[in-house]
Amino acid sequence: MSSQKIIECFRNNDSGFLGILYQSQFPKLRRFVLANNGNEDQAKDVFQEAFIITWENIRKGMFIPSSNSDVNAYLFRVGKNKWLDYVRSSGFKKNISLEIQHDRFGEEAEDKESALQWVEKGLKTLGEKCRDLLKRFYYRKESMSMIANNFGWTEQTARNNKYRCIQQLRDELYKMKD
Amino acid sequence: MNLKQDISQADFERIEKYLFDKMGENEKLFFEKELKETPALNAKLDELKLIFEGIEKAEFKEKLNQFHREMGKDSNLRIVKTTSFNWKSFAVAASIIFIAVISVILYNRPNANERLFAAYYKTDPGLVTAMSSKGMDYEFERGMVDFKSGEFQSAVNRWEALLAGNPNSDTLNYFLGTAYLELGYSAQAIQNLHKVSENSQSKFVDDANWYLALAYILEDKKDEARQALIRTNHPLKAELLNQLDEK
Repeated sequence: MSSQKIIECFRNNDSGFLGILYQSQFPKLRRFVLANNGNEDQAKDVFQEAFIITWENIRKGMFIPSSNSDVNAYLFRVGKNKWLDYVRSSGFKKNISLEIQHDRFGEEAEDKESALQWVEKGLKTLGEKCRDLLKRFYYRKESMSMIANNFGWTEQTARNNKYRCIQQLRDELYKMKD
Repeated sequence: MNLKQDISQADFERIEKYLFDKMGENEKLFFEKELKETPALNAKLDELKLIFEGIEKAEFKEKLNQFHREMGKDSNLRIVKTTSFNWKSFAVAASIIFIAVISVILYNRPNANERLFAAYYKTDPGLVTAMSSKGMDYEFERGMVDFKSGEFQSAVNRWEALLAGNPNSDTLNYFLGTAYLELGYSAQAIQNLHKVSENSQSKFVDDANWYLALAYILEDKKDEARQALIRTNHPLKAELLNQLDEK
């Protein structure tokens, strides 16, 4: 698959592509973690963390894969290093549960990460309809007309509802801040 | 963080349009100017940008869990089969996109023929230039220099010009054939190599048949490949014949 198509799949959150990538590459990292003092849950956590990092870095242009196997190798490398860092850390020796350390540089990136987690928490408080609507637009990148069709709305209604859901989310977020 | 500002729907739509790069050039420039002049608008943009990213990342993480759960249904964590669509939550559109992506991935993977070709193909080393044997021509030798430095298209251009005046030259046809093969034009390579392959007097006949066989493999013409292999005396002949018979 061409470099450009791969990057597009990551930007558009193409579920077919991401699903195949996830399910085909997990076994390899799982084997590595299990062979290096890890268990199933840890394998899952490390892999997902590596997957998220790969997703972010490709979308930001920090890593430009030239082929599928490039992506696979990168994903494995990130996961493997994460696991080895953890195994060598004091947390592991004291049997502290796996808190994946982010390779963040400086306060800014850490602030950003905790800000994103704050949004994630707020999102969980929304009703199903809002969550579905927001997921379709912001994650699945569905068009407004597709979304409107799905819910049986007009496009204008869909737009209004999206705005209302974001307002609800913001209200929740500011409430949580206090 | 700051106190919550009101964001009107109009502002919301504009900011979103800007962030998703849906504005025309002029609209964009105008908006960017406004952003510079209105810190309040800028603050709203920063907040919405964070929220949009947060939503996308949160849903992405959910999706990973879904992939994981679906994997668990196969007890050996088998690689997902491309024919199994158990994702009822996906709209028909999503399934269609899925099929298209898979076809693209499968189409772009090297097929069995390409793998077999790659396993046995080695570039011809070319002739030593400045040979003073009969019929060797300055233009031919310049083409040979191109060929040996990997400039296969230039070599082809020079040799095709010579071929016009010398259409049955086994030397020209042989090297043109191998150059075309390097360039990926297997059908054309077959035409040139074929002329040499039947000329048992030619010193290129064994190699011509060998490359001819490889070119036929790329064209998925196994029978013709076998015939060419039978004619050659190339050291790897038996091995490649075995490989062909296994498929």
